Parts: sequence; C-alpha cells; structure tokens
Amino acid sequence: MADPAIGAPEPARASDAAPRPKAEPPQMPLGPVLAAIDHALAHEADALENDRRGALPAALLERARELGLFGATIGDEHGGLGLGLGATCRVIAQVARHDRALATCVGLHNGLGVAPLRALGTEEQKARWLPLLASGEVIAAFAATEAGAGSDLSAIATHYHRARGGVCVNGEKQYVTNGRLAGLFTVLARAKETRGQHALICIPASAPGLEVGPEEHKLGIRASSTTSLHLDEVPVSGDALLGEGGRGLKDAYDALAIGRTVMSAGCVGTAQAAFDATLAHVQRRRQFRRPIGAFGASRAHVAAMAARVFAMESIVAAVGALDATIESIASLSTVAKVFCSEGAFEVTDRALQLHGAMGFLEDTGVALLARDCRVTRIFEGANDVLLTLLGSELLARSGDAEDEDVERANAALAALRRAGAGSAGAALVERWLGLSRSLRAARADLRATLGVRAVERQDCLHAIARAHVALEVASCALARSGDAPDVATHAGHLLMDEARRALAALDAADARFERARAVSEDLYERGTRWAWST
Amino acid sequence: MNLPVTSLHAAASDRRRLVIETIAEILELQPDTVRLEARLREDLGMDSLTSLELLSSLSRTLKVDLEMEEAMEISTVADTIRFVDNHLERAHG
Ligand SMILES: Cc1cc2nc3c(=O)[nH]c(=O)nc-3n(C[C@H](O)[C@H](O)[C@H](O)COP(=O)(O)OP(=O)(O)OC[C@H]3O[C@@H](n4cnc5c(N)ncnc54)[C@H](O)[C@@H]3O)c2cc1C
Repeated sequence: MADPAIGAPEPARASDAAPRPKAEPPQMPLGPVLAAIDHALAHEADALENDRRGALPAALLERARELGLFGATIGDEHGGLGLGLGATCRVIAQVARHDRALATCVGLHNGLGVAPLRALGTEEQKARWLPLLASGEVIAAFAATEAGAGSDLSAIATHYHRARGGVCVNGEKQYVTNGRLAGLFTVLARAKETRGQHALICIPASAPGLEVGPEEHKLGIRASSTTSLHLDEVPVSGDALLGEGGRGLKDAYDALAIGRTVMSAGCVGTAQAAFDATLAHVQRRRQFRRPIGAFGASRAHVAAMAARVFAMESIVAAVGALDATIESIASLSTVAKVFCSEGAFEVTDRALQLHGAMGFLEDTGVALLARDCRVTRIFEGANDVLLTLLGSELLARSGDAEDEDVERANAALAALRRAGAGSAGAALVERWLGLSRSLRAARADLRATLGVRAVERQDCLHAIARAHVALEVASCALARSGDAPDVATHAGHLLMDEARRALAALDAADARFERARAVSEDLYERGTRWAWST
Repeated sequence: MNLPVTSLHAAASDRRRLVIETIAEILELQPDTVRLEARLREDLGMDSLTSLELLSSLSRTLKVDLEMEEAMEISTVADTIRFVDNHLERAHG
C-alpha cells in the first residue's frame, strides 16, 4: 500500500479542519492533583448513597473545597488552581469516576457558572466574586432554560428593565443545576422594552425577590441539585450585566462551548468507571466452566468499550489542548459533546449487559453509571439540535481543506509508525483520507442540490455531521496510537465504519425522508393509528 | 407570519420589510427592534443554523434559489437586504 502522506502541507488557511493545538500556559503538575482527588474520593464519595439520599453531603462538598476543585479554572491571583481547559477536563473526569453528581456540581460551577464572569466580568466584578467562587464558599449556577425556551434560547421570556441606577429582573427559570447550593446565579434575560437585547446577569442568591424552587426528582445525577428559579422584581446593580449590552445570547452560547467540553470530560470519567468495573467482572464471573470474558461476544464488547473510552479521552484532550478561545473550541466542543454523551451511554449499556442481573441491581453501581449519563444526550444542547447545527456549519463553510486533512493524516501516520503499526497503519490512514474526501464530496453535493434549503433536511445535515464527528474523533484517537496501538487501531476502524455508514445513509435519504414524513403526517395530522389485529 | 410579499417584483421597501420580519420571527424579536446595522452573529446571536433558516425562508417566500456560498458572506441585516436585492436583480435583469 502506498504511503498516503503527501509531502509537506501548505500553510493552514481558514478551514473546517480542527484548529491547531496551542500549549496550555505552564501550571502546576496534574499528577498529584489527580492522585489527591482519587485518594480523597475513594474514601469519602459514596455515589450510591448520595443517589439514594438525593443530595451531596455537606462533608463531601467541604472535601471538594479543600481539594481546590471549585477553583480549578480560576487563576491563582484569585485563589484558584489556574488550570487550563485540558487540565480541568482531567480533573472533572477523575471526579466523575467516583461520583458523577459531584462532577456535575463542580463541572457546572467551573464551566457555565464561572466562565462568563471570567470572560466578561469587569475587574471589580472579578475581584468581588472570583475569590469566593475559587474557594467554593460561593457555588455558581447558570440559569438560561425556561418552560418555553429549552433548545431555543432565543425564546426566553425572563426580562430586565432599568430601575434605580441598576436593573430589575423578572422571570421563571427551570432545571437550574446547583440551584439549591448556589450563591451566585448567572441568568440569561432580555430587555423588557425591546424583547431583544439579551444579557447575562450575575445575581446573588441573597437578592430580594429571588426564590429557589424545590428539588426535581430525576432519572440520574439525583444527588446533583436541580431546581427552578423564580425572579420577582429582583434588583441588581447596573454592573451585574456581563459584557457588552445586547450580546447575551451569543455570550450564553460561548459559555456553553466551555460547559459542553467539561461535561464531555464527565462522560469520560463515567465511561472509564463502567469499563473498569466490567473488566474486573468479566474475568471474575464464570459460566459454562470459564470466565464470561473468554467468550468471543464478550471480547467484542470489551474491545469496543476500550476503543470507545480511548476515543472519548482523545477527543476531550484535543478540545482541551486548543487555545481556549471560544472561536477555537466552538465546533470541536460540539463534536466532543455528541460523541462523549453517546459514548458514555454505549459503554454503560455494554457494562450493564455484561454484568447480567447484577448490573440491573443498584448495589453494583453500574446501573447508577448508566442512569447518571443518560441526561448528557439532552442537556447542554440536545444532540439532535447539535447535530443539526454541526451539519449546517459543515454545509455553510466552504473551505475545502484537503491540505489540513493531509497534515492530520501525516500526524496519525507518524504516531502509528512510532507505535510499530507500519503498513497496517498506512492502510488505516489511507482509509481515513478516502472517507474525508467522500465527506467533502457529500457536502459539495448537498450544497449544490439543496443549497440553503438543506436546513429543511435534517436527515442530510445529521448524516454529514455524524460522518464528521466519527472522522474527527478517529484522527484524534489515531494520533494517540503511542498510548495503546491496538486500542487506537480498533477505535480508528470502528469510527471509520460509523463514518461510512453515515455517508451511505445519504444514498437512500430521499426515500427514507419521504417515508418518515408520510408516517408522521398520518400520526400527527390524521390521527391514524394501526390496529393490532387479534 | 402572514407576509404579503410573494412576488419577485415586490417593491424594495416590501423586500426590506420581508427580511426584517423574517429575522424577527426566527429570533422571536419585535421587528421594530431589528436595526439595519445589527450584525447577525455578534448582535443578534444567529448561528449557521439560524442563518440557513433565514435564507431558506427568504428563498421560499421570494421563490428564488439563493447561493449558499455567497449567502454565508452576509454579516448584517443590511447585507441580507442587499443580498436579496442583488439576487433578484441578477435573476430578472
Ligand atoms: C438534570 C438537568 C440539568 C440541567 N441544568 C441546566 C442548567 O444548569 N441551566 C440551564 O439553563 N438549563 C439546564 N438544563 C436544561 C437543558 O439544558 C435543556 O433540557 C436542554 O437545553 C433541552 O431543552 P428542553 O429540555 O426544553 O428540550 P426541548 O427543546 O423541548 O427538546 C426536546 C427534544 O426535541 C427535539 N428537538 C428540539 N429542537 C429541535 C431541533 N431544532 N431540531 C431537531 N430536534 C429538535 C430533540 O430531540 C430534543 O431532544 C438542565 C436539564 C436537566 C435535565
């Protein structure tokens, strides 16, 4: 097989390939931080008990404060650990291995909770809040969602109006993570007079007129607090509005890019925990005179789990390694969110299956892992919405970046070679380049045939988005071959199979689209239901 | 939305109103708050998806095919109006 690498790539231009990583600023070594988390939480985090109680115990939160977890992303000038995005992801993944509800609390605080203030706050705002947030004395929450505004945040009704040198905020927010624990809420609101002019507003929990609702009862992350938030003429000073007036919706989306990345890291931790438990179980449990892990079907499950976990780690590391400007992570964080939320679901589902009845019972803890990760396909952007968004971006961006693909193929090939996977590695990279070319062709074809009306064909947008997700993650996994060549190679093949299937779905897309429309129209508009004949 | 403009020959003022009302509908804003110089992404919070929705809706209402590549160059509300005007002019002399 010919070597697919084609000389030195041209200089990068604005394109659709992942931006180049930038080294994170020098910071404290991560190993001891992770070891301290492991040591403390192995003894003190009882995720099952917290789940039963439906709350994180005060002592555990205190331990998280002592470990500095609430200050992970906050600079040391404000008393935080000053970790970059990549290191923060490692911290959150480590916490999630022990207790996903705690990881959700700390992750939300560091991501959506603190990110807008860090990015947009004035020096005074930062000096007032960041030290309290870094120590965890004040826990942060982010309140955007409302009854009428979930995936479509532009529909929010919560509004502010000018009053007495500041503003007053009115509205009702839903599903606020950390609601019960929070001392500071970042609230998305729109100007009353204009219905536009969105703003993110920092509101202390002690503000008059602010009321936190009761805890919601949930399928998973039950120990993570989720409440409504009622705002009735809540007065806040003028400088509580973050950033430039009127850009709040964009600011919220920007914060979500960070939030999604941190949440993806939580999925990695959950998947690692499910994988570890399964690996131990399949070697211990015997049926038909041998360990169940010896059966071919079990080996396929275990290898698929290993590949998925490895790939999840790789994509999260790739987002974390980017210069953490919003522009640079917007697209790749969406890839990571979709991939890791689905990956955690797949890995925990395989874990349940291999554990048999034991997995179905709560005491093993595997059921908890599966329940805890289910919400990640819904929150911080429902996956169907994110795939639509990603698909539209792929269609809108015309940059034909074959040179970028070649550069990344070269990096993967070099890693595979170093790992001793010479000719098999070359074939794998050749396959990746071929699929990347097919994806570019599919995008050009959709652009030409559907044009701007492609937005009406979510099936096509999803197909190219899924192929893109699989190929992006595959390249990240292959570039990490040095860590585990066989696992990386297996991940590469499985992901490329997924990309191929996604692209193949475009072939019969029109007919399937019409059938889905016909079936749903019958059900919605004519109320037709079939009979189950007796 | 009940827009009277369905013809290619609609007056310039109607086209301008159509663009503004379509943007307002997609973003759930009041039309009179949409300023011509507002930037679709930075000021109005539009993304690729909502931009495509806008253009797809305009292309349906005006019964023209809008080119994707050019469409993605649009940055402000005024650009969008100009883009539609140019397109109609080109298509119909
Ligand atoms: C445990 C938990 C914690 C949360 N924490 C927070 C928080 O801290 N702060 C906060 O602001 N919010 C929070 N949320 C809210 C969360 O972000 C929303 O649930 C999410 O944005 C989806 O909105 P929705 O639930 O209203 O679903 P909907 O918008 O009603 O969507 C439901 C489904 O409809 C489909 N759908 C909707 N729109 C489209 C579309 N354009 N194209 C295709 N399909 C579509 C998708 O299948 C989607 O899954 C939390 C939610 C939960 C469950």
